[in-house]
Amino acid sequence: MKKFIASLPLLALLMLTGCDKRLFHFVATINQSPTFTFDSTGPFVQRVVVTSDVIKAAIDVPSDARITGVDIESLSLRVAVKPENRATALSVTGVTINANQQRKLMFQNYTVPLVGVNVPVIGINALIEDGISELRGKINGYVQNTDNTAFVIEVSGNSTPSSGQRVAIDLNLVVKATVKYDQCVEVPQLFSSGEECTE
Amino acid sequence: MKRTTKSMLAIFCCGIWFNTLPAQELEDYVSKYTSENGAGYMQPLADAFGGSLNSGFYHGARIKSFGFHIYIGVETMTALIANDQKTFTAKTEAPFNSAQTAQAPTLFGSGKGAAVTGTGGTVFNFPGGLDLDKLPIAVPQVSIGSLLGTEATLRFVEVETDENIGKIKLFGFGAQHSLSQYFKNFPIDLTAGFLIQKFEVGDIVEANTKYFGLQGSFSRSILTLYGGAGIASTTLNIAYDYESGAGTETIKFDLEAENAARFTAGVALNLIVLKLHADYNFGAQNVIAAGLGFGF
Repeated sequence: MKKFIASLPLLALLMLTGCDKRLFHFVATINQSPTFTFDSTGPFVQRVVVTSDVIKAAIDVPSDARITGVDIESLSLRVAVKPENRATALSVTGVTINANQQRKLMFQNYTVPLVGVNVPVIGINALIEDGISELRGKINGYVQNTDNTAFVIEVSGNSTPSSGQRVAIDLNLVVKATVKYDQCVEVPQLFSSGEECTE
Repeated sequence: MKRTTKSMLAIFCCGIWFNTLPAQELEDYVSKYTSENGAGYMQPLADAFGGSLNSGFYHGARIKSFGFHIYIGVETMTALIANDQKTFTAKTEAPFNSAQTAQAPTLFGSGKGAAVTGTGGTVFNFPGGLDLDKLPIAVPQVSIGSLLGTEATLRFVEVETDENIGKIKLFGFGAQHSLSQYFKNFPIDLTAGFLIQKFEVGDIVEANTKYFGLQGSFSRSILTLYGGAGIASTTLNIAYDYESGAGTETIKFDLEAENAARFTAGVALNLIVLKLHADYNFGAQNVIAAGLGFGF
């Protein structure tokens, strides 16, 4: 009797055996947040080099997956204000610079309040297609192994509304991207109402 | 998050389907969503899973006042996924701009996700689903009676998985009490019954179901026609740590199934010690249940 009882879960398993490969579409998220440290009076500018290794390390896509595309979902800013800071707000501009020194604007003169703000991230709601398209293209090239040349993200700006105030902050540019990929996965036949796998 | 993914797999089929769809893949389905969209995305799972667990409990209402009998079998319950369970109104999540809504697939919906376009060519992708029309689960069930016209029912599964998931446990107990024993020459057998179940996956998932109802049956020779009406409820609580590039946050989904009133109609065959039955369960979530067991 004990053997019979013990075999019941196994029986249940056997009822669902028989596998079938089906095509699934997945979305993986990449979050990158390079840090720009500013401590200056007057205009400021800083650059961060983004390499394919950094992006590849940030994604977690199975080796047998077929990547179908990359989208940029959002750019936002996370600011840590230091005690020495005197500016109440910033006007910041972000650009991409590729290996040919071509500059593409992602956002321009975007106002970032530094006082009276208690939000973890400030979404940039005035993005420029030129730079976003460039950013998407670079990340897509990296994850699909069609482009491995590094590029630069440059953030520049000044205090506002009064320029020339001391700016002492750590600024993270949070880039959220999604990688779309397809993968054939074995599932029990009872579940397999999805797309056929053609691999 | 990987723990959660494996938990989702464990939920599907009470440990029957886990390890089939690899953890990484399902992670990529659900990791896109945080709380609000996640609840909409996974609500049909609570409905289907709850509806299934609350089915297949009984296959007759004939219980003698006294005398030993036992039934040991496997109950399979297949939730039928309706079209309206395959999409939900999803909202883009901050900091995507501008905020929009879209009809997006649920976990059971189309494999192809939805997408909306924001400022500067940004795109918010809503993940696709598993493209399922049905969700089968199977559990072992034992019924023992009878004492004062009462029969007890137990469901129990415990599977030790890896350290990421922990134990998958299902424990359910219920009883049916004969009401027809109190009436002389009552035309059908009649019972009142309940079934309470708890399903756990480590410390990540906890589902609780309750079913109370009346059951009736009419037997001729080896054939029994049975049916019933009852009230069912399900809560499904999922909590996990989501590790994004911006840090770790705890995501919680507290879901309640929409399967209050349930009605059952079925047929059973009693072939000496072999018992077969199948029934259809109507409600907010329709379920086909079938069972095979031995008893005397």
